[in-house]
Amino acid sequence: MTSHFPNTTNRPPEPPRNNPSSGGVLDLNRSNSTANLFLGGSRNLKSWMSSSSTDRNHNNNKPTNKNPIAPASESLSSSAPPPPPPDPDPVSPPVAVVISPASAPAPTRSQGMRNLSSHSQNNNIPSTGIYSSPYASPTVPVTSSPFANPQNVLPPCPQMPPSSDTPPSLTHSPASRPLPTPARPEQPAGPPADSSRKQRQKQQSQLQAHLQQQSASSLPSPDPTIPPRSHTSPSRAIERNASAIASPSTAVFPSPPSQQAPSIPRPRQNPPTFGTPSLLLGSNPPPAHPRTAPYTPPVHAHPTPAAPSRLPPPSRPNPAAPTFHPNLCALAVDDAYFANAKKRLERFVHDPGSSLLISETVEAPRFQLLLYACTEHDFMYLVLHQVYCLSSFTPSEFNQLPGITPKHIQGLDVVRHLLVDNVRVSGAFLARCANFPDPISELLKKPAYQHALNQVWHTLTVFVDHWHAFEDQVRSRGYPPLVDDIVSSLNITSPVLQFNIFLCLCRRIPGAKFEGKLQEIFIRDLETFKRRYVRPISEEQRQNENRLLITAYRSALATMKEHVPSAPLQVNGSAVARHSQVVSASAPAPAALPTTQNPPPPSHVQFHSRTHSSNGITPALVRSPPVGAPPRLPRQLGSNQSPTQQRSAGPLMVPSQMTGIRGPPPNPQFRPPPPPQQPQHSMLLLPPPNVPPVVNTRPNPNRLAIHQAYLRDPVNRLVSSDAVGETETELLPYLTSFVLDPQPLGQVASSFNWQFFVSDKELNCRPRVESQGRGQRSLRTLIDGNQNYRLRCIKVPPSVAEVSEHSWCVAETAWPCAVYLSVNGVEVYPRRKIHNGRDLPLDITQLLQEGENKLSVHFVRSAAEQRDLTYAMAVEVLTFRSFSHAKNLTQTLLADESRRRICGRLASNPDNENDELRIVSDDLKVTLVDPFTARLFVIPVRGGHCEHPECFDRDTFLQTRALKSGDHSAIEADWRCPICRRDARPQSLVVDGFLTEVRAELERMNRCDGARALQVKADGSWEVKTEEDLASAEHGTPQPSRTVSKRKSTALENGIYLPSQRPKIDRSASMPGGDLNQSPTFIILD
Amino acid sequence: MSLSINRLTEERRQWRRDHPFGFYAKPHRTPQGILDLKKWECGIPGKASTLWEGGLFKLEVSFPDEYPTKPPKCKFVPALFHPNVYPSGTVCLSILNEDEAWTPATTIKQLLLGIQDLLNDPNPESPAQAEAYNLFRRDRPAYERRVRQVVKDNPAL
Repeated sequence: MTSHFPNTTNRPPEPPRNNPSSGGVLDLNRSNSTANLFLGGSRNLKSWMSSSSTDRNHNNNKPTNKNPIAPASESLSSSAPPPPPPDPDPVSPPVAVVISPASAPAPTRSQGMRNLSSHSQNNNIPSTGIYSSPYASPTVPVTSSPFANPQNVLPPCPQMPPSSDTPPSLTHSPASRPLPTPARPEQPAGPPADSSRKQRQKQQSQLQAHLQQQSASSLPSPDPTIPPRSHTSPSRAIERNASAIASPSTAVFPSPPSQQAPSIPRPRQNPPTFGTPSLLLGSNPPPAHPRTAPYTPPVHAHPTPAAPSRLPPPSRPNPAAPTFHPNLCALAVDDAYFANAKKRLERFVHDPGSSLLISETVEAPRFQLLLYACTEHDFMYLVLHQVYCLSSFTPSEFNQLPGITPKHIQGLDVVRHLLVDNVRVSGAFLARCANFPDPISELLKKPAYQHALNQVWHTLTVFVDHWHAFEDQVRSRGYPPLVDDIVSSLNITSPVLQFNIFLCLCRRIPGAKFEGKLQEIFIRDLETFKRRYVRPISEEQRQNENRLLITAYRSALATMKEHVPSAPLQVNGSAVARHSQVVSASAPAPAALPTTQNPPPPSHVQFHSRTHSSNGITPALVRSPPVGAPPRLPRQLGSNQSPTQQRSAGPLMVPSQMTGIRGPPPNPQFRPPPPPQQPQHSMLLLPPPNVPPVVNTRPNPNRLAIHQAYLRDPVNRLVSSDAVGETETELLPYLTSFVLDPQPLGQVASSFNWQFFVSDKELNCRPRVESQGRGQRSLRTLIDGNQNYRLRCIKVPPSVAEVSEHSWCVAETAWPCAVYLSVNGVEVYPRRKIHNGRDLPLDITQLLQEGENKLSVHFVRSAAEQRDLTYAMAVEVLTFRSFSHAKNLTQTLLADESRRRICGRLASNPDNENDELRIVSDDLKVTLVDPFTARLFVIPVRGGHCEHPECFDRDTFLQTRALKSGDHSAIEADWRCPICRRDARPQSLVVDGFLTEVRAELERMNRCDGARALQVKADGSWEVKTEEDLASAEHGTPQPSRTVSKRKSTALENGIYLPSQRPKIDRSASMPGGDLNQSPTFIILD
Repeated sequence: MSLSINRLTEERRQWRRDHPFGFYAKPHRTPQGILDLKKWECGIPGKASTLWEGGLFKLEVSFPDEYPTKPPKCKFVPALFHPNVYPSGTVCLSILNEDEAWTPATTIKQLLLGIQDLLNDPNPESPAQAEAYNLFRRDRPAYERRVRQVVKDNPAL
């Protein structure tokens, strides 16, 4: 299959490479919340985080299958901080063999393993299906080609034959290819010296091994067992070479300088030496390594002879080409330089000390971009980044940069949009970056630097002048920028910057939520663009290609919109319709192209149009997050990029690639199978990466938390034991004290270790818990006085230094996004809102021991958690008490004191009442109705911290807090005042003496039933208001409607309550306000 | 008698004594003629001088055993075309949410008045059904047409 695809196509999209790794990081970030959801529990999670080895095994299947794309893997490995293991993967060889003996799967294997992208982790896509399709990936040029034989291989490579149609400059690359492959006599472009080939190959293989050991880039698994195979098959070698070469060519495109220049001197200096190959290696986009490295050491080594051919900057008939200036800087900044820089970067990332400095949302993406730049030899980006960092880190040095003008500084504003604002970046990181790739003083000595710096200034100027127009244009047309656009409008040739711009703008396009697909398209765009260097195409073709891209973007966007009912709507209304048209129109288009051998996957397009039909019907129930989310950095550059997507995307590009290729007529067999529908569907079934999970308003834990079944509460049995025996009862669980006082977690520290002491006596108060056998919930027997220990975490304002008990006990539990807790060395797992409706306290009673107990908390801070979202954590004691006990805890506020307070209220704010229309100035109304029963309270209480005069009924309140035997959870105990939500635990309740007196008086007068409110005068005298009083007061100027109803109700009571009909006159309501026995006949409106 | 029944009895008493015009609320009567206090049938009229004027919308209110600690569930029968009403007819309203604004002191009268207010004052921040929400956001005239139709289909007596 490789044969059909020019190497360039085979090149996996590069930008994404870096991403997967970042994606992985990202995932870690969200691990607790999301991962729990999708991975089935924090247990998984933990192992996942802690041991990369297990991960890899874990991953193995999926990524590989899905991701046959070799290049991606390399970048992954190198750039991905989390999986540092450069060690050979033991698993791969066997697996590979099993899968597809014919093709050499091992390389893919290793890639796969490296591929720790969040995506692959999360998507447990049935691996088997994917495995079975060795052909499925046109992108895997090297290993998997069962057909790989010289014939097949040769023709497809566009560069291979110094074709007449390709400009001379292009022919270089072909020449270079043949060279490396020793075993190929049939090569059209004869390799220089056949004899030297074998030797060279050997050297190369040694070198390879050498490199592998050496390079921090963690080449996957140089598998010693496999190499023979790779050597034996020349075709494979060729393919590999081809790919290797192709990659340089790709690299050439945006950042030509680094590539070309080094290649020039190289041949002259010392072609065969070890050193050179390493350079070449560096020049190869790293992705190629993982695949090729284990297999075929020779691949990398060969290039030198070919290099000269590549030398001449691509002659560009291509209109876009003129914008590229072959960069002279390459003279000093060569492959080795980049390799070195990259190594340093990686060292920093892997440095355990720096891991704390690197937040996944802020610094990590910047790292990824830098790595990507190194990979791409994008010196200009490195310089730009350095300049940007300097501007915030050491403005003094920044201001001394040669050629700087105020306009350039202004241009940095745009950079600030593109990259994370330096304000958010940690100082240490900034310091590093300000000196990367080298301290500025050293860089200034390099001629190449000056050149790159000029480019940077130029770009900054362009930003000032054209950025906003460009951005507006992109936004208004509704699809992301094409590479062509970026080059022609902004004259930016740095691929990293291009990618960055793409990402940034993507995120500002309404509805562009699911970047993965768009990225994929952009990457294809980049590829195509690069290819044009190698093989220029006609203007018409170029437009054609661009049109295809636009169509692809549109349809991708359209699908997104379907999933986003709440997306910005002003665009959607018409846009959707338009899109659907576009899609349907575009469907046939590809077929109309000259080469139809590889028709674009119909499934792709149809898929969109199909979903369109259902557009609008999709329930909005899926609450999608706001689309206009602030631009994030490419932290998930590649994470979205499911390999399958790339694969399926491949064929779309084919038509243009195929044109002009001479070679054996395409064998239908070779046609890449149309991208399987499956990936598309799997994308539908699984949530798109990086989208916060949809939060169910009322999640049903029995369904959603089933993966955490082991965290369930035990079944409670509440008993009171006396002489007679045990009888079922109800108990009141409430917080009585702390064993570990609330500890604010602050804004910085992320690791905490606390000790607390629990005495023997306290431990004896623990409830008895009996296991009911495997898979069953245990049974907890609670008696009066039992105590439970709960670990809780709440949100507190950053300024808080101390959390009082009464504010603690009313605060809801809130766990940080990613927190790792262990009690006495045993890890415990909190249950979260997403599954349980709210974050639940963590019962650690059974883990405690007599004497000292240890609690350790490790906490991965999200961006918000580094700033104003702070927490406090404590271990609280929950005591289960009987009613009688709890009732006795209430204190009493003497009647006089209470009356004094109420009167004080009246005195204090007489002036407020000016603007109150109806209120008679000298009294205060206190509702006498208990909120639960809606009737007069019996024992009026309120919380000790409550400020309202109203009370509620003590016994009713306690009753509603009772914990019953069975499935009920102690979490239910909510001791907040039903009126103001302050602390109202039994020990905080205060009986109001004054209202008790009132109650007694009403009882004496037999007026309890109708009493609704109390009117207290400043002198302490009071009157009771009945319902009728209040109703009439309310409806003082009744609307017609209300009058009617009122009339009816008064009519009811006419005979009985004469006085109350004139409430305004007779305020005292001397008549006993009673509940009347209404006969059914009175029910008029019912 | 349990707290919830006590409370509901009280609610019923108060409702019969006084309730806003145009509304009705009564416990469900089973086919056997027994009153089920935990399930009420209510009617909410559209507010005067709004789009909804002239309509009367049937609502089923079911009270959990933990009432009034926990809020009742309110459901339009049939489901109502409204951005904050789930396709099932269940009303999405803060005062009906235990974790939000529900308090035990909320009376049925307040509840129904709250829902009446919601009719003409939907909260686009928490959409519950796609159809009404999308129309409400994108195409107000069409939304209003639909509402008028709904009102016509559910006339007040």
